[in-house]
Amino acid sequence: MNRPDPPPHDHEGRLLGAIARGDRAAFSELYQRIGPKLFALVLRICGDKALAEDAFQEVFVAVWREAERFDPARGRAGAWLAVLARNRAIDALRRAGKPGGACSEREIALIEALPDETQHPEGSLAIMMLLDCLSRLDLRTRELVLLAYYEGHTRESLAERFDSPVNTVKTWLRRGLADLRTCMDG
Amino acid sequence: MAGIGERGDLTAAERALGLIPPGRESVAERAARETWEARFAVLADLVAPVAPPERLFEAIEARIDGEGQERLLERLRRRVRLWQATAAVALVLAPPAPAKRYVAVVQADADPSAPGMIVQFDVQSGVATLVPVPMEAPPDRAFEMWQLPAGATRPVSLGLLPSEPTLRRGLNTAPGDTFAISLEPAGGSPTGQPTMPLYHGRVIAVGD
Repeated sequence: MNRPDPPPHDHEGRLLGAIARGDRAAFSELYQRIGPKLFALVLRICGDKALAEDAFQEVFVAVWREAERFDPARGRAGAWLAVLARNRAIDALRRAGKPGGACSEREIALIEALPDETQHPEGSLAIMMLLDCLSRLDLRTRELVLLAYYEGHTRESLAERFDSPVNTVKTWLRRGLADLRTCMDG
Repeated sequence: MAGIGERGDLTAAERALGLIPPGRESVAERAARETWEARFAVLADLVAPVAPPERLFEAIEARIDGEGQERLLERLRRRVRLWQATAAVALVLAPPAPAKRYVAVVQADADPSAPGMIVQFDVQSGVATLVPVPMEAPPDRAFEMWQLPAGATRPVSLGLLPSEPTLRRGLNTAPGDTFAISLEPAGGSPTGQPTMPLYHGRVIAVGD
């Protein structure tokens, strides 16, 4: 298949290209570079350490097997990897019969660590933009979106958590997502 | 959100967040979901990194070991074709230099594009590497490897085809030799000669 090369600054994209050709050294390098970030994300979603470790293994086995499915024309490797990691974590959560929300604290600290701008020179603008738009949502909607992202909730489990009917949660979320899109596209 | 409307785009957002299970998507719906995924992906960058336990990488490596073999074989085959082409040119252009490695790609007689095994022989160390392509023998049958030295008429058994890449010492070979794989009753050939030869490949010198 003829695919464009990833842009020069997308080092992870280049590593994925090498991994797709069976390059184990590139696989190790990618693991060193983004393993801790993806592990943190998976841990966050799964809540449970043993579950997270299983899901994390699935993530990197999938990176090895499915690297050729990454298409630089459709976005950055970092986003592709984050989606892959998140999906595997949610799969593990659902398989374990957990509704999500393994973390006990209700408040989500929006920023746990300052994004490393030197590592994401072109990602930082996107981060600032999303944070800005999230901050314009009301607290409840922001919490719903972040809980969905970071803890892998379904509408049903959010409804239970917020002690509200599923349809109400659905309406809050859809309104919030529409606001978010307007803000980010604006 | 071209073509899927406001409602469709919000459904794509819900899919991207995992609020609703994944389902069948049109091309436009998939594109909308991916746009949302990209919007949210930066949230992953806000989580403080956590070093995974060291044993996890070993566990991952153990699971993918050997899986690159298919890809490796494909590359080896391409290289062998290149070597064959360049060797033919080199013979015309220059006197043959002493080769350091010999290679045989043992291919199916019925389908020359399907390798059954690759044999590499390092002249300096005298070590042969046998890289079998994973394949399943019919019930109560086994694959057996053979070597037919150049000019000889009777092949010599090298034992049953291993399931994994194997190093062999004392397996001397030279260009012009043929390696083959046959199908035998379980346990190997009862006669000492191949029962049903299926694959063969000739050794060529590939230099370094």
